[in-house]
Amino acid sequence: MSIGRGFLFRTIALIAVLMYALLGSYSIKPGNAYLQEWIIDVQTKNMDSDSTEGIPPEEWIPFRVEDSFGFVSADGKLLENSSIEWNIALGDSTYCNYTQQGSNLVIRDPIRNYLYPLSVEGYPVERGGDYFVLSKDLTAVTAFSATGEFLFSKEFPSIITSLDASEDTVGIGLLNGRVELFNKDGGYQTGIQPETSRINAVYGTALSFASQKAAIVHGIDPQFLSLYQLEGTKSQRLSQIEISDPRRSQAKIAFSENGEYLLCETATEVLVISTEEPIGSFSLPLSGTLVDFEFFTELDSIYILEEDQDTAVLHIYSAEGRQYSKEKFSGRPHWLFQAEENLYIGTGSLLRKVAIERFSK
Amino acid sequence: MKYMISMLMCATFFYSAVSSLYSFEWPVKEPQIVSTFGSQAGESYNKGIDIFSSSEVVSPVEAGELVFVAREYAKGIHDLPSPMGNLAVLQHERGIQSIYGHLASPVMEDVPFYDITDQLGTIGSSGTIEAEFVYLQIIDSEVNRYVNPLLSLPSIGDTAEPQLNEVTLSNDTGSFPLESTTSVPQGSYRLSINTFNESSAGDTMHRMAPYSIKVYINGEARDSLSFESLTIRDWSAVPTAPPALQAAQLYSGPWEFQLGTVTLQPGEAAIEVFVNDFSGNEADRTYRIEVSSN
Repeated sequence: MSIGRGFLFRTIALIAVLMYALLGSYSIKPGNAYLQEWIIDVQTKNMDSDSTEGIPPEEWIPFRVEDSFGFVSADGKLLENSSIEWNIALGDSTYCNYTQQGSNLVIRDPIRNYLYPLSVEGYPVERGGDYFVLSKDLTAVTAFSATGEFLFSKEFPSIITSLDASEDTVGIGLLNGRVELFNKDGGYQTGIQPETSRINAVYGTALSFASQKAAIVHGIDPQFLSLYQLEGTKSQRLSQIEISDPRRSQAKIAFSENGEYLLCETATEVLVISTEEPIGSFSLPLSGTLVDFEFFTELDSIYILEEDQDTAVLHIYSAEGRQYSKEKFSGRPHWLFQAEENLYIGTGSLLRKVAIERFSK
Repeated sequence: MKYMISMLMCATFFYSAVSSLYSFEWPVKEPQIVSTFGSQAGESYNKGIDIFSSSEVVSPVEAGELVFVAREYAKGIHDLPSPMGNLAVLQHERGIQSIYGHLASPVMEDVPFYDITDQLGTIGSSGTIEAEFVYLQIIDSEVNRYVNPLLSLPSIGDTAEPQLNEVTLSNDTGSFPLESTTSVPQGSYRLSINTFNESSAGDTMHRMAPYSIKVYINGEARDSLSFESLTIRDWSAVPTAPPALQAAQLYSGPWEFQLGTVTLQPGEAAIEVFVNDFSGNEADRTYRIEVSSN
């Protein structure tokens, strides 16, 4: 009996030593903490119109929820709130929309209270600080600056499937398999035609602000993600990754702010590509429909907002793909916007601000 | 004789254009055309046709592979909205693509192949329209052209003539509507023709571009226009066949077609105008005017 007690003691002691060896020496890896700062119901909250004065344009934060859009301040004041008619393009502190169905498109600057009427019809999108109006048949685009200045108008021999703009370049992806690149004033730079598949079509286009790179999702059987270096009127392919689960619709694709990473939507996952040598990639699974993603360079974090059975799910990953956090919100997701170290998430009629804080231990 | 040769050449060109495509089926039952290929659409041309139908089901014009779908509303900043609403693109043989816009709901990507009897979607009003119709566009991707869908669709049985309203000669000295003009001074004139095709669909009358306009002066073929296909030149759509005018150059007003200039010499001049719709209905006028020397 005493032998048994001694054996039990030694066994417990051994387990304790092993537990310490395995766990006691484990240091908590750096990560990101998710802290909700505020939440407002845009449908019921009154505008804080008295508070708009004195808030500089760079502190106006755009948002979109299910039926409305506008701007808030970082402390949750509702600065601008309008209902969505047909479609809306939101810039940093301006927007482009139809004031009512059947009316003309306008660009509005709510801070300076300016209004710039546009002489075209279609759906507007904002890219790189300018507005691009897609024609009703998706075969033409007309570009305007945020102050309503006409930049250019182009028609194409195929429908437009994707569009992006960097500081000085506009890239337009077409169903005929080409990406046409223009200067901001409409001057033609070059065209890229990555013909490598049974069906050649472009499904996604992204331009890097920082690194003069272009990324293109193209083709069916097989579908590829190709990365190009842009050099004036020339382009050089840097790498090509085959996508195992292709899409037959637009693939969301975006560079990180510093151009070092690229996020690309496939049918079932988000590819994360390191665009610097050595070029590498890994994937993050999607359980629902991707709404949007962001790569926050300063925190080396990836944010993915998806819709899963009418519920919003926010995933926060490290730049290496380790999951920091997974949060669920009620209501359909509409908006993911990152400003400084905060995320603004629109679900249903609710807008919430989430602070992402880094911890190291 | 010249007139006969010209007509024969047109017929040959028309036949070769038609035979270059497959014979498609209408995507809806009992189709009624609301807007034709070549009609003015904003700053450009309508590159397809708008079709009304009392039936709901939209089917492919021919068996094909789904190569692109889009939905009306963008999800997130990195998405692109579709002003054509919920749309689907099918790839057919020989580089032909058919595009179906304004469908009621998004087309699922997981069904890649559609037979001609399959349901692709239902007629809707998604995108920048308020009435319900389906937009059909045909692209010949081998030559990068928008092709008039009516070239390869069965005849719709329309028997109404196009409306040919007014033919006007104008220059810096004045404007001469030929209905009420018997003489003009010799010189060069811009020729404009007010004409349209008309159909009733869904209890509404719709005006649309005719298929072709031909002009003969003293029996000699001069200016003509034909909406068989549209080509992109210098990033603008123009009719593939001359005159390769942008929509803003061709249309000087609603259904007012600018068909170049004519030079009239002293003497009698006969100006004949023929306007055709796609069903072969024709409206024609002959104007006889005295051209006086300056």
